[in-house]
Amino acid sequence: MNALERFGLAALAFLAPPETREALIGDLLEERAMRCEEGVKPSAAGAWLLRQCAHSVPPLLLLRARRAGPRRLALASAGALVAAAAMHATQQSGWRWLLSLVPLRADHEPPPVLALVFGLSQCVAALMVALLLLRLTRSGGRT
Amino acid sequence: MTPHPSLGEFEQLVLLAVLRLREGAYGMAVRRELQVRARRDVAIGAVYATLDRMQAKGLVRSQERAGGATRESRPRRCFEVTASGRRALRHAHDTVARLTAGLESELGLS
Repeated sequence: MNALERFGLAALAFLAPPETREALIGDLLEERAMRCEEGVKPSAAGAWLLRQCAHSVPPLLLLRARRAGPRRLALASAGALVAAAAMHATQQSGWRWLLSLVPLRADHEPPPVLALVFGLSQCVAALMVALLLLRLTRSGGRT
Repeated sequence: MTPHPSLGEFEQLVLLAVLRLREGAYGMAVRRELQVRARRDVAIGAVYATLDRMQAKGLVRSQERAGGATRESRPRRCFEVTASGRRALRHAHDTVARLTAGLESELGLS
């Protein structure tokens, strides 16, 4: 199993509720091994595992949000908003600093690819902070 | 007001898969059953999220069983349908049967 697959499993383990975590990862490992035994190339089995990890993110996120309850969800949303705003402000000041070093117009916009990277990193930062807040503020029971 | 918890389409499929698998109804087996019988290639996360939601409704219950070497000794979480789950399935089936009664020729069922 390569590092990317391990990363995918670790990300899922981070997202999954505690009582489901081990079973979910075990299931993925078991089916990956089963696919290899059936003659599927390890790289193809790995790609299947990564697809499973990626497609499992939305339902697990919804599950976490559903279980969180309104107060924790509001806290996580506020944290996500602050994280995205902080990331945006950091990127903007970084971009202005970069413009000051090179002979470009001061109002020059970042190229589309960089703007996409900026946007994606803001989403990731927001998601990570929201999940961290959900994990750190445990509720008393299921909601 | 209905006395039975209402089931979504995917919930019905997952409940039926759990019922079919009997003792061996754990996440990945349910996923494979859905792939083979319902021709739905679903993510394992969606299966667990649905099972979790149905457990909260009292339609299924689960217990952990020891896993083997291929799972790196991680446990299996095995599910079974409760009496309430069976009632909900029966209710959903009866509802579809009542609504499709008399429409066999239009649906190409006869």
